[in-house]
Amino acid sequence: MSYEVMAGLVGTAILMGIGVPILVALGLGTIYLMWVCNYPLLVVGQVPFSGIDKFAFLAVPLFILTGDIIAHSGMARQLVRLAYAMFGWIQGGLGASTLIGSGFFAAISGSNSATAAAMGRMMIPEMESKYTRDYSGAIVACGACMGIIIPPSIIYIIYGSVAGVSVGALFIAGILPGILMIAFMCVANYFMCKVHRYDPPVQKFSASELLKAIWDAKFALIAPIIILGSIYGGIATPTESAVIAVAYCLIVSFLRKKMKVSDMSGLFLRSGVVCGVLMPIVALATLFSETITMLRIPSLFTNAILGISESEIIIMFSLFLILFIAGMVMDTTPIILILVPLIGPIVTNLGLDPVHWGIAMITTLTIGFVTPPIGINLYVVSSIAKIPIVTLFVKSIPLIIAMLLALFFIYVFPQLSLWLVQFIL
Amino acid sequence: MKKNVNSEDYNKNKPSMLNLLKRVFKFLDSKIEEYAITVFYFSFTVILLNEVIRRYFFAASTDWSEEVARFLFVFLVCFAAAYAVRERGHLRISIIDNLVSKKIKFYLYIFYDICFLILAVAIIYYSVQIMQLQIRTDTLAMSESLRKLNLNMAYVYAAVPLGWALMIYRLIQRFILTIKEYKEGKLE
Repeated sequence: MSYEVMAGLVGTAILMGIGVPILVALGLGTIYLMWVCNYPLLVVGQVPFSGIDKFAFLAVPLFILTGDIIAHSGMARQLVRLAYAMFGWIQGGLGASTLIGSGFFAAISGSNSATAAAMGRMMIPEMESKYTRDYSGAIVACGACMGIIIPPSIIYIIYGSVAGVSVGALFIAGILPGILMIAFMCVANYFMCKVHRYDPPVQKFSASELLKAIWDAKFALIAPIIILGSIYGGIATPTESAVIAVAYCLIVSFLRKKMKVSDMSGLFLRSGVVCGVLMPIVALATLFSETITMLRIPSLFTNAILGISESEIIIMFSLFLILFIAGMVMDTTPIILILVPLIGPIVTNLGLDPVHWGIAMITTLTIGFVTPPIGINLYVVSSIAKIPIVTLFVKSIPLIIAMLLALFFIYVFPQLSLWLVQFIL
Repeated sequence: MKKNVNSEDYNKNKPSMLNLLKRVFKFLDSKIEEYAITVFYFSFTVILLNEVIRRYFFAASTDWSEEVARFLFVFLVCFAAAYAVRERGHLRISIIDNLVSKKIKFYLYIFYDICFLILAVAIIYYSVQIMQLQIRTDTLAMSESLRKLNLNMAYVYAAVPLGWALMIYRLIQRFILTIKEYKEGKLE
């Protein structure tokens, strides 16, 4: 690697580090690298179009919109009530139902920040009386990580398009790891409640209450069935299933008289704006990773990592560390676009399944949502509940440890992600 | 005094061409991205929904819907990116914000905006070259129905220079606002 190339890479990292918007740092870095290596620069004008012009990406705003509609129309509250009817009788039942409710919500919404915003506004005021405000915020922030693990998920769509993996397979593969992470967090929450004497059980389990809650939440529960069913029934592509889900959620909200036509433009705008932030990064990060691939940097990287040790476990652990640290300091989308081409060859070398690896990678990156300095869930919850970010993080630590334990199982047992895929597809 | 206000009021509302243009410009300036985002977003959703319904219930399909929806999405992204510039909403690593004084932060903001400007100018320059290339080589869309319209891809491609030019406009607007806020000591 020549000094000019080295300077380009370091320069890009410095620009990002001093806070230049990620898309600008990637764009300028790429232009410099291409200019140094005499690559045709015309592609710089092409990629802001061709990098976005993919049918799969249309699902990104739509799967955020579905969640916004569900939250706006009050259906999200029914989902939490259902979770409370299931687990409200245990100590810490309200926290557990917030975590499980986030899971239900995530089965309709594809974004973690939308999940954090919706659950935060709804559950923090309710939990405050039984827990401390800080700990309730931590539960919401960690639960919202499920937003991109449980399908549908905008991150699976982006990973699928970079790594050339079927988005449908990723959606299915995410189900069991997501449930496992929620279960581990519920156990951690139970122990926290025992220690701090939070939220003692007040009611007994009642089957009739549960059935009533299921009946009340029926319209919200049909939405994930429509999304996954239309994909696996071969009726629709993931993008089309997102359109069907949006139409379904809108119709139900109108029928329940919880939505006015005038509300719609605001909802469309909010999820549309997210694309303006994500998609230019996707376009320029794609160009960046293509450029470094032409410079053969991925093979240098592969050799360096594979050179660390013969042992598969140590290599896996070092990949985990790279992803974990990257997730702490950067946003998920650019990490996936830059690191997938770098890590891909190593993973193939180890003989891992790309679907399993995708799930392992994305579950690792989600922990970055609740760790400073760049933890989007922390920012969202802190702005809703007026809790300092550091306090929120400290209170999240038990739940983060639970997620790390779940990650261990996800890494070690590929069957967790692959079994359902083999079963259904 | 009172008379003065009235005459000023009258001047403001005088139905002249210039005033009308001013009002139209002011309206566009404050709302153009919001309207563009909503319209593009809504129309590709409707197109795709129509396509799914046609295919599932009437076993009929069109060859243009997917392509048109994609193009609308690119337009949506370009306007939404300009909206994000206006709100300083583009993702960045903000660790440094808490470490530096307000003065350094102000200079950093100026530096970010200059970097953004350089990138935007480069993208506009090369995307216009691509458009010229498309016009020279008569590049058409993929689907048969769109080919019949004889629509050059350069029209669709115009989304990129248009969107990034709008971003430059918003950058300059925000740049001036940042300087003003800094002078008044209100920079967050």
